[in-house]
Order: sequence, then C-alpha cells, then structure tokens
Amino acid sequence: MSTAQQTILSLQQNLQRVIKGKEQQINLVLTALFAGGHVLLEDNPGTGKTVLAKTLANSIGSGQFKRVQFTPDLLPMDLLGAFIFDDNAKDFLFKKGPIFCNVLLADEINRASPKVQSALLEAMAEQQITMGDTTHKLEKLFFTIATQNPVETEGTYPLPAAQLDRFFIKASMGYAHTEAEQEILNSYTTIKKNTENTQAVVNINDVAEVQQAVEQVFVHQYLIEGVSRILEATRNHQGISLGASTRAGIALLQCMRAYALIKDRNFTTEDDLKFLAHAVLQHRLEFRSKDAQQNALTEIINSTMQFLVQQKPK
Amino acid sequence: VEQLVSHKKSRLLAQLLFVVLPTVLMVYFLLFHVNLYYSILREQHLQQTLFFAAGISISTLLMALRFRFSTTFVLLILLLLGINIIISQLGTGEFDAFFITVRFRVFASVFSCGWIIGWALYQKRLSSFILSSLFFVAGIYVLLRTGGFKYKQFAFAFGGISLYAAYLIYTCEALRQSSNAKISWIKFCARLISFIGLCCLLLYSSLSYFKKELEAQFKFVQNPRGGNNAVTERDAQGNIRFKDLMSIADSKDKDTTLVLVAHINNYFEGTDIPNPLYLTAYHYSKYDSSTQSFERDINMPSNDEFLPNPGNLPLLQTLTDSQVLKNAQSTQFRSTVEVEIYNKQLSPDFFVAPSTSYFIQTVPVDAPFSGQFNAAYRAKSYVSSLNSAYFIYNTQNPILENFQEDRFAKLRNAKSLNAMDASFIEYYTTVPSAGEYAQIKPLADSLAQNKKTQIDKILAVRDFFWQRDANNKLVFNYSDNPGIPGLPSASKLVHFLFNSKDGYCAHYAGATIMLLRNMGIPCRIAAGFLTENRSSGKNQGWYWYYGNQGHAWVEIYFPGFGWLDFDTTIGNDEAREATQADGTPPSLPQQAPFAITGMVKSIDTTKKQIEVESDAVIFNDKTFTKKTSNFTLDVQRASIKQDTSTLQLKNIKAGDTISAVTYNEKLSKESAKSLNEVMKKVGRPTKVDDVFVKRKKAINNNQTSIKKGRFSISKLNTIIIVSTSLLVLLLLLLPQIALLVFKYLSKKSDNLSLHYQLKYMQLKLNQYVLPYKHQSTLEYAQEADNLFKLNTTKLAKRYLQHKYDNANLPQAYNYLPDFNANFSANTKGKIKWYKHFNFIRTLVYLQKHK
Repeated sequence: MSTAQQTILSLQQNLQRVIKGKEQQINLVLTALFAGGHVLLEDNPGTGKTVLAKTLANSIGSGQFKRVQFTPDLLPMDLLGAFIFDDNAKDFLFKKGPIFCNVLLADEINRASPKVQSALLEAMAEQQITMGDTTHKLEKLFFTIATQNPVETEGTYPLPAAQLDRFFIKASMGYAHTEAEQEILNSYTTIKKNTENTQAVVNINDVAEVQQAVEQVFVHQYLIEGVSRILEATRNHQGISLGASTRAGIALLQCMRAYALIKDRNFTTEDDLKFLAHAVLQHRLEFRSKDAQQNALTEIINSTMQFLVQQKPK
Repeated sequence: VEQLVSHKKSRLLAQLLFVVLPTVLMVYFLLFHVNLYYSILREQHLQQTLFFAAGISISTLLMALRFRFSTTFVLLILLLLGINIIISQLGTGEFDAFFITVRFRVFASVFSCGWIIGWALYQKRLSSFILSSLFFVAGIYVLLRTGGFKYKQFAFAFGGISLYAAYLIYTCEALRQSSNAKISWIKFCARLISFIGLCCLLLYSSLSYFKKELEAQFKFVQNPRGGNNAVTERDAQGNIRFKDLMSIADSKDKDTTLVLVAHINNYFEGTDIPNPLYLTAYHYSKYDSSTQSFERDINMPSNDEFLPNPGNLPLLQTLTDSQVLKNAQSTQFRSTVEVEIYNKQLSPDFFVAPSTSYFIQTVPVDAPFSGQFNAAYRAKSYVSSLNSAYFIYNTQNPILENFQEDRFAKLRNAKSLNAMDASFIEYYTTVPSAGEYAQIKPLADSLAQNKKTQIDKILAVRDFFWQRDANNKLVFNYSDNPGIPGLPSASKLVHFLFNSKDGYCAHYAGATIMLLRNMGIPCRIAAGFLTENRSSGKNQGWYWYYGNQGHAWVEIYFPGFGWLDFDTTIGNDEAREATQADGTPPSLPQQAPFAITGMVKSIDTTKKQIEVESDAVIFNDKTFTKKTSNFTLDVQRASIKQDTSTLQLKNIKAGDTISAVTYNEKLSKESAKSLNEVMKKVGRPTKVDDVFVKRKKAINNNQTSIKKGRFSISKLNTIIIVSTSLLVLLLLLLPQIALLVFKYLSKKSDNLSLHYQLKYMQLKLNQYVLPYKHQSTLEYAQEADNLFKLNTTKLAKRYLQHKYDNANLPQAYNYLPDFNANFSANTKGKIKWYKHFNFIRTLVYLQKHK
C-alpha cells in the first residue's frame, strides 16, 4: 500500500469514528481536499457540518484549524488581519487574521456582507492576500469548509454564481439514517470524547503527497468526452439559464481523479463521474424553474451515463 | 428567453415542414380514393384536403403557442355546432338545407380530424405510432374497397403507405427528442429528400412497369361512376370489359359503338323464329351494403361460370369445362346451342356467351371481315328451352306471349326448394335486412301474398314494376339518368324502390334481387349484353351489339330446371332500337373436323408438303395436347394466309408456328380416342385446306397478355397471418436469441470478449432478475449481487478497468460458465416461465445499449 493510500485510509477512519453514517459526505469533503479545492456544506443546523470540519482539521497533524462565524457586521480585516501600530517599532505591523491557517471553517458564510465574502473567495482562489502594498502568502495547504444554512434566509447575502464557482464541491450533509442516529444518541459521550481527542493521523506533507498523486490518475478519453458532453448539455438545456463553465469541467475532472484515488484506483471510471457530477455542478448552474432545478442535471447526467455505458472498450 | 422563442419558432417550422406536409399529402391520397368510392363525398377531395390542412396547421400553431388542447378543442366544437344549427335553420328550402348541412358536416369532421391529429403529432409521445398504424390500416382498407387495383399495383400503393408510416414514426420521434437540443436542419432535409426520392422512385418504377394498366386505371378513375354503364368499363385500348362489381350509380352514359356481332343458333321450338338469348359475362351473387354494390364471388356455391380467355387461346384450339356441363345435365329441357361471336370492341380476354356455356373454340375471321373484327370464337352453351330473358315487354308478339305462358305453366310444376342444399339456398337468399333495408321485407311479403309457386311470386314482382297509376301511366320508368343525389343515408336501391321509381337496369335488377331474396327465392345478377332481334327475316339468327346494350338482369334458380334468365327492366327503347343499320354478317367458319397447331420442322416445296410438330390437334372438337407427334401436311390445294394477306409456300420457314385445317366432311362423322388413331384417320400426308401462319408478334402478345391477377382477400389473409405469426415467434424468441448472439460474440472477438461477456450478464439479469434502468455498470452489478450472490461485481470491475484504464489489456478470461452456474443455482425455482419470453424487457435493454 502506497503512502497516499495509507493517508486516505487513516483520514477516512478517523473521520468515521466521529461522523457516523456519512461515508459519502466524508468522501466528498476528502475529494475536495485532495483535489485542491474547497467545499461548501449546506444543511440545516445540527447535522454535523462543524464537527466534520473540526475533526478533519484535527486529524491533520501540525495543522492549524480556525473557525470564523460569519455575521453581517463582520469586516474583511476581521478575517484577513489588520495593521496595528506597534509602539516599540513605531510602525504598523501586520497582524494575521484567522485566514492564515490550514483548515478554515467559514460558518454561515451567507450571513456575511458581500465585501467579506469576496475577500474570502479571492483568498481561496489566489492562495494569497494583499493588504496595502504587501502580499501575504497563505499556508501551503489551505482548505476552506464553508457552511450555509438554508433556513432563515432573512438578512442573508446569497453567494453570487461567480463566487459559488470557486467551490469545487457543494455537498449537503443530510440527516443521519435512523440506525446511525440511534448509534449517535446511544454513544454520544464516546463520540464527544472522540471529537475532542481526535488524534492527528497524518501531517500536511502527507496530504500534499496525496494531492500530487491525484495528478497521476489516468482519465480515459471517453470520460473526457462525457464531461464535455455534460458541459455542453447544461448550456443548451431549456431549463438552465446559466450553464457550466470550463472551470467547472476542470474541477469535475480533478475531483474525479481524487475520488478515484479514494476508491483505491489509479484510473477514473464512469461511476466517479456519476457520483461527483451533481455535487460539482449543481451549485454552478442557474435554473429557470424549480422543476428544472430538481431534474435537469440528473437528466443530463443520466443521458451521459447512457452514452458512456454504450461505448465499447477500445 | 430569446433563445427559447427562436427554438420554438424553429420547432414549429420543422413540425409544419417535416410532419404536417407529408401527412397532408398522405391524407390527399386517401381522400382521393375514398372520394372515388363514396358518392356522399361528391368528389371534393381537394377541398377536403385543404380543410384538413387548415385544421392540422392551426392546431399545430396553437400548440406551439402553448395553448391548451382541451379548451381550444371545446371552443372549436361549440363553434361548429353553432354553425350547424344556424345552417339547419336557414330557410333555404328543405332539400338545400339538408344538402348544405351534410356538406358542412363532412368538412367540419375533416377539419376536426386535422385538428386532433395536429395536436397529437405535436405533443403526444406515441401519436406517431398510433397515427401511422391508423393510416396504414385505413390505406389498406381504402385500397381494397375502391377496387380496380390489381395485385402488383396494390403492392406499390401499399409500399408507399408503409414508407410514410415508417417516415412519420422516425421523424416525429426525432423532432420530439430534438426539443432539448438544436434542430439539425441538414439531417431533416436529407431525411425528407430521401423520403420524397424514394416515393418518386416507387412512383416512376410503378408507372413505367404498369404503363398500360395504369392508363386504363386512370381512364377508369377519371370517370369512375359516370362510367359508360353500371356493369361495363373501358380499358386502355377503348375496349369494353365487364367490372367485378355492379354499383348503383347516378347516371349511365349512352354508348353507341359496335361491340360485337353474334350468331346464335337458337329458335323457338318448332319454328324458325329466332329466340334471342342474352349473352352473359359475369354473375354478381353477393351484395355489399357498405358500398351498395353487387359483387362477383369466386366462392359462390355450385359455381357454373366458364371463364376462358379467348385472347390466350391459340387459333382453333378448344376448351371444355366438363364440370359445368355435368352440373347442367342434371336439369331438364336443356340442349346445346352453338354461338359464334365476332369481336370488335370487347376486351380480347373477355368471353361472353348465353348461359350456361361450357365450350369455346377460337376460329379465324374470314378474309373480307378480318379487318372489321379483331377475333372470333365459337361457343357452346347448354341452354334450357324455357330460357328467355324477355319478360315484361314485347307482349304484342303472340309467339312470345304464348311461349311465356307455356313456360310459366311448366315452371309452376317445378319442385320445391326444400329438397335443395340448405347452404346453397342460404347463400342465394342473403340480403341485408337492417336499417333502411328493413322496409323491403314487408313489400316483398305483400307481393308474395297468396302466391304459391315460385314463378307466381316472380310474376308478382314483374307486375309490381309493371303497375299503372290512375291515369294509366307506368309508375316505374326507365331512365338513364335517374338523378338520385348521393345522399348519405338513403340507399340508392331503397330510394329507387320507394321514392324515385326511375332507374336503369342496375336499379331494376338490384331491386328485383332484393325482393326475390326476401321472398326466399334463390337468385343472382347476370351481367352481359341484352340481345335484340332486328333482323326482320333477313340474316336470321344474327345479332348486333352496341355499347348501350351492356346490361344486368336476374337469374333465378328453379329446382330441376337450373338457372333461368329474367329481365325485369322496364323497356329501354334506346338500347332496343338499332343505333345504326346492321351490317353484313361475316361468313360463318366452316366446320373443321381436323385442325392442327404446331411448329414447322421442314418444308418440301417440290412435293408441297410441310412437316409439323404438333402442339395441339383437334379432331371433331376433341383436343389432343398431351403428346406431340409429327404430321406431314399436304398443302397442294391449301391457301396459306397470314392475317389478311395470302402467302406462298416458300415464305414459310422452319420454326414458324402454323395452324392447319381440313374441311373434309367425310372426316366429321369419325371419332378418335388417341392421337395415333387420329393420325390413321386423317392419312399421311394429311390434305389440308387452310394454313394460318402466326405472326411472331402475335404470339408474343399472347404470352405477355395481362394475367387476371385480381387481389384475393384470402391470399392477403394468409400473408398477414403467416407474417404476423412469424413476427410474434421471432419476438418471443428474441431474449434467447439475443443471449446466444452475445455469447457467440464474446467467444468470437478477442478484443471485446469482456465487453460481450458483460452484456450477456446484464442482459440475463435484466431479463430475469432486475430491470436495467439508469445504473452505471458497477452499480447494476452491485445491485444484482445484493439480490443474489452472483459475484458479478468482479466481472464489472474487471470490465471497467479494461475500458477506462490505460494499463494493458487484462488477460482474457471467460467468466460466463461460472456466472451461469451461479445464476442457475441461485435463482432455481424463482423465475416465472413467462420471463423467458418477455421480449419487451430485452428490447428496452437493447435500445439503451445500442
């Protein structure tokens, strides 16, 4: 077993000790992590978003975890940092904000003003921030888990489509299954202890190694064609007013590579595409109707799957 | 939004061009044929098609604008109803109002049909299938009903309809699916062009192949109902031929061309007064109430129709139907009557003779007349001495009157029908009795009241047509143009009987059949020529027939006497009067006791002898054709003829076909049983008096002459049943066949072995266990494994690696025996029998995995 595989396996196990019955969500978050992107979790309060983010941060040894609760009065400098006058040096010193970390949990991102949102999203994209005339590099491993609350939309600032595009994956946690929920309720104290005592099982270098391994995963021409078909179809679909961008396609392919690795393969298959296409693309599209929002993308994915299934091996 | 609007526009345009237009053309074709047949439509197929086109286009437009079907259709119906009420309340005279209402209803229904079809084609998923199958069935029905079509023509028209059906299914589906993407105009144009091209090719090939027949067809089609008669029509050469059915039409043409000349050797018993017998061509024994026509029926009981084709019969050849003769011999008062027919304008393949005919011999036309007449034949009929179609008129003629009374007296002694075969009686007494035909039965009963014998009942019918009103005027009259409008509900026959009382032979014969059959008297219609004796002493026994003598009358069956002719038509003076003076009758052919037809083998000009290999030898009306033998003919005294010209012996070449005849009277009393006996009797060399050399061209004509391949329903039924059952069988076996094919492919191809193994596995699982929906390959395998432990995931994973990894091809491995063993072990007793034959699942799977 390669080191990459070991890293993945131990991260999975560590997360599953705390988050019960959520293998898919864990896999999605890990996919985004290894693909070098960021993830947006959207669900009702109390479904374990924060716990997931926290546990992930704690699992990565020597990783710094920061949590920012976004509110309407939050200012960019609360996030990025500020220049403070240093009496001793008689100069303005840069005081780093919470964004200088390895795993950032941006809680309820849609409550912050657009100013803050765009500051964060720009940092996510550029891996650096510029304050005044100085540019500050972020950590080499910078992974954002943003959460969003679909209820209580009053006084929120929905993220614009262009900014949603920065998130590789948008996943929804969903409630736990009855069995899993009962297990959680039964052994809550153990889980809570596990959460607090999460051991670091990997370090940042291990994660970086996996990220490099992702680049080596082979993508067959069929799947590239499949992805491009999906992109094309979203642009021509009657129910979709804003189709997927090329960046979305790149993100999808990258995620597929990462997911293949998680599934212990060094090549991607149609199943990766099917599993990820919805999570990667749904939040990047704008729909004309509620009906289209629910069905359009599934339709497109299904027809692409049919195309892929029909192809004969070369 | 703009994009959406433009998409809608192009969809509408495509729908109009590629679906609506071909449909309208198809409907035009169908309406054209329907109009030929149903007089209610009054040949307005073009207007009807336009209304249909309007309906379908408006509805398509409204659907494209997202109107709801139900509301618009309800509004349309209300509007049409309103107009209908308004029209019926307009005070434009009762008849006009009725007439306009009928026309309006026709157009309204055509319009709404178009409306519904337009909506269905635009929106409903399976509409193209349903519609094309409807068109298909309607097309077949219309083609069969409108008749006149021969087998191959029918096949061509049939091909066109099926092509349209296939096209519609294909295009509609493609258009509907294209609603998500851009419409590919090039593709559709190519499709349309290929459709039109195929149609044109079909049309062109059928036109060139059936040129003659189609021209005839076209002539017939141009004036289908006016016709020149109810029973006759003209072919491409302008020759008269008889139709397969007798329709009751509005009017009848006057046709005064000479059709044929006949010599009928029949005189009233003990006198030299000619008894003119009608010439029969066909019998119509079945009534079709939907088309209001009497039809021929090949399957009529105790079929006594003798239908040789004189055009195909070599010169001097004889043909005898011994069965007809045998049947006729069981009846009384019959004797053989000889007839010679000289054909001028009758179709060469038609045979007419007094009923009941059983013998034909083609004879040459003598020199001075050979330009005047195309062909001639001699016929023999076994005719009852009681037979005379003359019935109502010519009561002034005392001889005829006495004869009539005499025959009525004899016929009163006819045996009862009870002894007859019940199915025979039932067949010949079947008439529609429902609806408007119901009023005929009471009339028939009132006429038959107190009449005990069959002939008295018939006389009652005669008297019914012969009745006079208070002013001593005939109630029923003859009219070539009775002018019954094509009323939809009023049957023409019923209308004639109870209202108009004006009609021609078809009306009288039809009405007589209705009345007689209601009385339980077996009868049928005979079509042919009425015979009028215009000879007045000179040329007795010769009769001249003109186009307007084409006629229909009634044949009635008397037990013990057989079929007898009765003509109940009120005097048609025009047909009886000569349209022109009779010409000189052609000289009768001499009796030829010996005739031979065959190929010339060698010619000896010095001895004036010809060696002939015989095809057919006729010795005193007996034909020997089975064996061939060589005859040496002595042509010393013979005249050698080719058509109208006389030839020298040297002009004959070996290989020519000749017919040679001897008129030696000594031979006519001899008889022979075999060809050898004939050879002995005629001597060697045989002296012959006439030699006819056949033109090569004429022979060719005979060979290619049109076969009378009328389309028979039973043939069609057999074809349909056999092909349907084959199709069903194929469908039922499809699952197993598909499995076998995949298995074979997996063994055959190295490269794709794994692919076909997987397909085999999926197909089998899909067939018996788990319908394949939208799963990916792996998901499907996992689902199946969850149901039964089949270990298919292994194969699926291997396959995926083979398909998507760029690593080397995995070692070929056959998973199937393992899978099959696993499968049968795991699913034992769980599979219901019908799943083996559930071809729909197979088709769904194959459709998804093309």
